[in-house]
Amino acid sequence: MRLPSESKQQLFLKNLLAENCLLNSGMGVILAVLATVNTEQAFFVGSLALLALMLNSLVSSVLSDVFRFRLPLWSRVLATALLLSLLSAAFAPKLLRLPALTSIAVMIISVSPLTYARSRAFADDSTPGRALFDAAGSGVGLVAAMLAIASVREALGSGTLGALSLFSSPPIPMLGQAFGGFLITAAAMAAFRMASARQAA
Amino acid sequence: MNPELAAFLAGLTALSPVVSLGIIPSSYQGMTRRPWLAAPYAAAGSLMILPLTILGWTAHRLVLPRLGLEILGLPALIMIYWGLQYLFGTALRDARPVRAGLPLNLNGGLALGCCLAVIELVPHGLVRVAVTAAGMSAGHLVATLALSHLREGIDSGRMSPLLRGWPVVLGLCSLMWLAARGIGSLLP
Repeated sequence: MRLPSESKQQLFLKNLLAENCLLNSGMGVILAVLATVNTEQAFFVGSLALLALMLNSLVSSVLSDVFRFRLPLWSRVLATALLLSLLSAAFAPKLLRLPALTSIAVMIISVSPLTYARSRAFADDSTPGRALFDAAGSGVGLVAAMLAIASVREALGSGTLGALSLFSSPPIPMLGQAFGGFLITAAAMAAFRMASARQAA
Repeated sequence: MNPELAAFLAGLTALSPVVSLGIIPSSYQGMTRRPWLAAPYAAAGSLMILPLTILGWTAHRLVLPRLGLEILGLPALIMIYWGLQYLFGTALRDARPVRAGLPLNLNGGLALGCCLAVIELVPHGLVRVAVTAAGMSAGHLVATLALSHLREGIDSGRMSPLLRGWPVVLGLCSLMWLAARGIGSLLP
């Protein structure tokens, strides 16, 4: 629920923390499982999701605010798919260096409800500035949650964290697989709920 | 072992979309609370995986490269998805619960992810692609029904609210991943 009295900063912080799209409602869980093998992959895929989210919200809000026109969902999906195809082509060498299935995670952003949720729920009836802050809060929240999950998976799954070598051998190599994505994402969601409950008490 | 049978079994276990690859749609948690809800949802996903993978692979590997339009691969897949959704939506007019699971926001990520995985992992042979996709389709149906039955027993009022919903689903998926790996390791 977003109130007209809420400032841009409040919108940003609400989506970033209290109503984090991934940890609170599970939106974008596919990216959390598929694209958090290491922090580099999480940052790359999360940043593309953030870009798609912000562009969708900005375009939707400008069109509805200035031209009183609501963009149909199919046109948003196709435009996002085209944008992600172009970005994938531009970053092809980078995608080859990232873990397997990264390109699939990038493509899936175009059909994820996460990409269109904020633009449909908020941006269509809001000013461009507020829509941008709202989308940025959601997107940055997603990137932060993905980075947190990826840090644990990378540290325990491969014994490294970015360029740092933490262990001589990976403590739990299975965390580098989808198994680790499921387990660490579940733990992150439970921890988020625990923190929210403690704050509310 | 017959290569086609091996491809089917690989699709069923090692390439099972949700359990082995981690292609888990945002709608998965809400739609697998009860088996009666999960069955038509999983059937809709399975129904989309097979034709989308065959048509998507054909477009990606055989048609678009010849036209020099590889960049339009993803938009083409989405158009194919919508075409299939319309087709199945019309054909399944009387099967409303299955039809309700067809839209892009429910099973789109799953079907598209499977199609892209096959395009990336199974480079040659349409027959091999079709058989692998059939295995993935069956694997999705079996895994989702199994998960919803398990959830029905576990994810109840007795469980801590901290773990209800997504944490339980993801925890069960991780256990099923171990099971799929175990079964997969028995295959030649």
